[in-house]
Amino acid sequence: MAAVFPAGAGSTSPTAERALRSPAFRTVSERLLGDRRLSVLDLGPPMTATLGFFGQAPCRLCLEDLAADLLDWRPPQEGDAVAEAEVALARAFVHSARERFDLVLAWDLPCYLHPIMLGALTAHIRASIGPASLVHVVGPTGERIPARPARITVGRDQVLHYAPEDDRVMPGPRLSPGVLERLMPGLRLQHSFLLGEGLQEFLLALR
Amino acid sequence: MFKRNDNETSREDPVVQPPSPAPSSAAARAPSTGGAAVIGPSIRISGDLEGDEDLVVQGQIEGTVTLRKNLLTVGKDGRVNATVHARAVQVDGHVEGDLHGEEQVVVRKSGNVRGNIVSPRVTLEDGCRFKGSIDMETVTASEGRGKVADIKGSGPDAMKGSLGKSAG
Repeated sequence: MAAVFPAGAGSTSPTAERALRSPAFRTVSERLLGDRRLSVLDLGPPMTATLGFFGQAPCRLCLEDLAADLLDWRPPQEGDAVAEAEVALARAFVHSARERFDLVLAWDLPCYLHPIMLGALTAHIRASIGPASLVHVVGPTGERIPARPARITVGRDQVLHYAPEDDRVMPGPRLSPGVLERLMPGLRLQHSFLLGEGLQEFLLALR
Repeated sequence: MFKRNDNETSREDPVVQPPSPAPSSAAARAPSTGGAAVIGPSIRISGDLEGDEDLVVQGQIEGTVTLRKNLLTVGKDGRVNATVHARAVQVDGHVEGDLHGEEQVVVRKSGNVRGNIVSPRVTLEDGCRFKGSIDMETVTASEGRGKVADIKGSGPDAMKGSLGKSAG
């Protein structure tokens, strides 16, 4: 992990808790939450509120909690780093490779994974979605971000709650549409929303 | 009370301990079980378990667990490596396998589940570990579609309704 520092005080502290209305989730709700059964892949930890949000519709929710398995992954000194990343990813995933999802929630994770691991994860996401599927990314945009991924949930009112769990900060990737498309190749940015208070959300689809 | 398969491989005899007025030291350490049968911390069972009373697992089970009309509680130190069919399931410990809850499945903050959950009501307390899928199906026609995950019911009272109907 990169060097970490104390966050410092102030209302704009990267480690401050925030609740922000999500325009992307309005789009997600309008496009995906209908009468048909929705299939969602959540790469984050299990969160009660998020489960409740998707429980409003007939839904299959697949939770992978990848941070616990992949956050500390680093490429080996020797050998094929991409192949090693794919092996680690295959070990971490529990859902079937044949499963296809309408929506993938990649909250905060792209800011914390090693770029090689994020590339491998993106390839896996591409293989797990269809042309109409959406990938939702949320992350901080500042130079400093919390040292560990925050707990992010979506409430029934389509408000995203961002709650950092670490008071320390580290340098962030400064997510922007260009940076994200470079880090997650093969996905095309459909929408990008500045949520304010240093958070941004993105909706991506297959290129 | 419980059926045991002939092909069980456990070296120890499976013992289901009913609560006793003078509990063993292991049972004394266990939380209140509310009249349910208890598989104690030192017990390992391999095979198929079937029964008509509530069950608390403080030890280890490997195989299948079927309690169609009852509640299965996996205690904090309990480890279940099995496919489970029960009326309701509460997990405080470790489960590897699919959980089918006729009415409800609750994974507590201390719970760690790797497997799939199929139930009309699912509660995952924040802080629990869970890897797998959750199928939130329509419950009944009269209740409409998509019975929701139980946000309100994530507290200690969440299982009381289920426990109240217990036959055990």
